[in-house]
Amino acid sequence: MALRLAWAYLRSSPGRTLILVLCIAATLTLPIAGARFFVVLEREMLARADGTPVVIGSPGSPADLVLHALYFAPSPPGELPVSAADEVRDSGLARPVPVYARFTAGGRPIVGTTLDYFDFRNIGLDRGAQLARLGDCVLGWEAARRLGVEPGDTLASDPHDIFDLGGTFPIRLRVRGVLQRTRSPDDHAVFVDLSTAWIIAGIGHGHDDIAEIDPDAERTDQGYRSGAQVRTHTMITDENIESFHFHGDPDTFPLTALIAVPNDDRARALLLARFVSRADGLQALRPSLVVADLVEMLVPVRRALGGYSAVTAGVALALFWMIVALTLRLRRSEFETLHDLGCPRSTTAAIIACEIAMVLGLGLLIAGVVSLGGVELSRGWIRTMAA
Amino acid sequence: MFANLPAARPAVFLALAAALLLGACAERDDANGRESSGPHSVYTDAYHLHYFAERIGGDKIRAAFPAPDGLNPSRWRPGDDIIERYQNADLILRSGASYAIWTRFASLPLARTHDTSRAYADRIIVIENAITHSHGPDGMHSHDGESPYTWLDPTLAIKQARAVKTVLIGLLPESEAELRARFESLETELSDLDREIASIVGDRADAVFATSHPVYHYFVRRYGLDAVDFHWEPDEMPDAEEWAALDRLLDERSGRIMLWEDEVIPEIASALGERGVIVAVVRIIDRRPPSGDFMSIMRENADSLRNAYDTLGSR
Repeated sequence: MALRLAWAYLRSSPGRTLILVLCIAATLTLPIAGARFFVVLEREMLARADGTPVVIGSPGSPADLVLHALYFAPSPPGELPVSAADEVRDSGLARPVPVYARFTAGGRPIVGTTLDYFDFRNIGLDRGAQLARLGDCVLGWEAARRLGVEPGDTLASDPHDIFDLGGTFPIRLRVRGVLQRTRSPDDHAVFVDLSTAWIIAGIGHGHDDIAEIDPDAERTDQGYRSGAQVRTHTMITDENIESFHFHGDPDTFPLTALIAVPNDDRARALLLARFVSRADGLQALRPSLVVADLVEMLVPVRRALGGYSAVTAGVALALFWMIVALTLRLRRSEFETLHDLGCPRSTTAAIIACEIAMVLGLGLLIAGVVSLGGVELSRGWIRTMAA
Repeated sequence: MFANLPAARPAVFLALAAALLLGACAERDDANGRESSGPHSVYTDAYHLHYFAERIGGDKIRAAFPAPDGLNPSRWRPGDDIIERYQNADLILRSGASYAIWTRFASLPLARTHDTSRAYADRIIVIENAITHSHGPDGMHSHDGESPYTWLDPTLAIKQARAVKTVLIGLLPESEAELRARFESLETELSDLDREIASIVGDRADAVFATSHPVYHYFVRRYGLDAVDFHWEPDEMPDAEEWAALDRLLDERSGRIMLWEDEVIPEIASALGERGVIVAVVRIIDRRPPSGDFMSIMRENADSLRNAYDTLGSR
């Protein structure tokens, strides 16, 4: 009975009821959304980190290194030689997964790696085929959608320093395939073979055969001396692929990070121990611990948001209570009529309690739907933010 | 239950067998579609490695060497479909020493690809300023850089076979004893071969004065030979200038044995015979032989060398 009368009263003044419900909803949305946002953010950050057992990299900020290895953060830390990958593999303790991510294509990070990366992350192809040779790329699902490219198309790497006139040209990549959607940073990346990434970096290149275009070229200890114009290839094709070559000691070619996948917990411990106080300064990190530290840094923000939300909620509830008190005073004659008709005071109290509960309940419901739904819908953005 | 269906029983068994077979064939272990059933697939980029893998792995593995018979595997360029087969293999064995050029440009998985020459990286011979030349349909090339034919030195072949054994044990730890036994058998044969060739050469290392092609660096080094490399093909008559170069060398050297990759055409044989040059056919076994296998051809090489030495000794 009280419930029916309370509901009838609320329906009799829809405008006032709506305002009250919206006030409650607006007040509760921020704290609920904030709390949920931090839970999701932490979970997203830790999930990627937990799935990456060990990251090895140059000396410097552990956070920079781990964030680069996990999310291909655009400003990579220092570099380490690719021989570190051989060292990890030869140790028999772990599987190395190299990462060299310095450049972009269409604003998306180009990740130079080996096929081991796809095995490690268990990412299959959505369409097309896997990297086959130098100059090939496969795109993350979202990168392919945003860039509007499909297998069979080509994609140029972005010029990395327009003021470096002697620098390398952008390379036009052959799009071989598009990866399955993973709802991770991998969706946004362009993957190439490590050697292709080194060519983009200018460590390797391909050009006309000097001996072929200028038979009179003088051969010296350093190579050929010729006045002929030699074209540098900007796309790797079946015809010119054998002209591509690298300069320098292959063992020193760079990586920006090295992911290691240990055989078991003992192997991980042994591997981490090998990278303590090394002469070359290389460090091995457990991303879950580094990211947990980063998450810890969010605690003050979370607390501040909680405090602000509590104050706002307190003020709003006080305002709500004041409105209720004023309303009750305005409705005194209405309640007295009910008492005159024989309605017990407990019933009028129950009616008022039901009205308050309904308004609060509706407000809470709207706040819950808006905040939780909003956070769920924003998961992609939160992932980006986590990155 | 099949007792009630006597007529249908064979069909049911067949269907079950087919389903099991198909199920086994279709079993996949990851998102990238590698098969987890059946013997492990081991792909190699050189014939001799294929032989080593088969000898050591036996029926525990499925060894594959997809290079077409008619092409030089070091210069062969596999299509994307073949590269995909390599990528999906459980193990990829590379000969190293810059042998298969295509592996420099192909995307291969680091964890499953093994350079079997790393055990003797310090013994790899580097050739500088080699002549660029051509023969047959392979186009222009030079032998600049690392000399790839390491397996012609049986001691290096043993090291390479040992590397194959090690990675196969990593793949099949439960079969370690069997793999070791098979390797030891191969090692014994290669060691015997090495001793045999060393005894043939003995203290007459200067008897071999030339090679038809710069592919014998490891063989020459192993047995202390002092041979000059030419760029001759057994089925292409060299021109007068090349014969003159040979004649000049013959004036300088007392040795009269020349190593060839294959039997020479009669015109070459005749011209060499006139000069007193004895042909020793030492095949480099870089592709699947029409008959026999790596070991039998290596023994034939030793026999050919012995015949050449015997002929020289009988003069």
